[in-house]
Amino acid sequence: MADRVDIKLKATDPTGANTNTTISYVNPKASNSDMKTFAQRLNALTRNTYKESDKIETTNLDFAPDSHQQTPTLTLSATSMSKATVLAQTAQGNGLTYSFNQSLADITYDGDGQLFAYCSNKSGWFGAAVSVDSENKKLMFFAAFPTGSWENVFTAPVTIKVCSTATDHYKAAEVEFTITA
Amino acid sequence: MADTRTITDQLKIDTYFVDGDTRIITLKNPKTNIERSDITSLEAFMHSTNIIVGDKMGSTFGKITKVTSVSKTRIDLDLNS
Repeated sequence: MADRVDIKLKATDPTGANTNTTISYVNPKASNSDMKTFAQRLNALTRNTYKESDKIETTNLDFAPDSHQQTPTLTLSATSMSKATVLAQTAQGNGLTYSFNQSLADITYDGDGQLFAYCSNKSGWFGAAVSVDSENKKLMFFAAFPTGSWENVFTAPVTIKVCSTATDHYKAAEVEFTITA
Repeated sequence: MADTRTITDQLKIDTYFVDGDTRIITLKNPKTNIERSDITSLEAFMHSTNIIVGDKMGSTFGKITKVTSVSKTRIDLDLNS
């Protein structure tokens, strides 16, 4: 909505010459038809012939909030990996359980927010965890399983979201990584 | 250049708002037969639509306080003809 509205009443005077009048301090919330009626009624007090009226709106841009947050760059060095490749990491085991902890992708982020990751399709997730190594900027995958059942760590496809939080200087961002079947 | 005679008429409508503000609407070439009822019905329209607002955060229209019709005749005499 405009901060200030004026009506420009355009008419012709008794000699046929154009005569324009500006009506100021019009209520910005008034309807266009009320503004037009007002202009016509004012003109009806004169000997001029009504032509048309224009609405002139002025908006003070200094009242608008500054949009100071930049959009950060948040990207992954790879955006997908097959389940077989994920589970092909050498597992460390003690004969009873195995676990592996591997980086799925490098994260590039130029903002100053916090990075975090989560699985966005919970139905495919079982016995595994995803997290962000903030110091080294890597998307980490960890799973532990009893011997003989590592195939069932999770059901692919799995969608992982890597996110950055919004700060004073940067907007929030997110990017997806998919573990394919 | 010959003598010229220019007549300009102006209608001034003085308005008052509840925040104490005043505004004047100026129109050219007013009718010569403006009646009190023309003004009171205009005032009623301004009340029902709140079409003109005062200074402080859109203060409400109060009333039309005065209506003046002024006619000015300007005479330019060519004293060299």
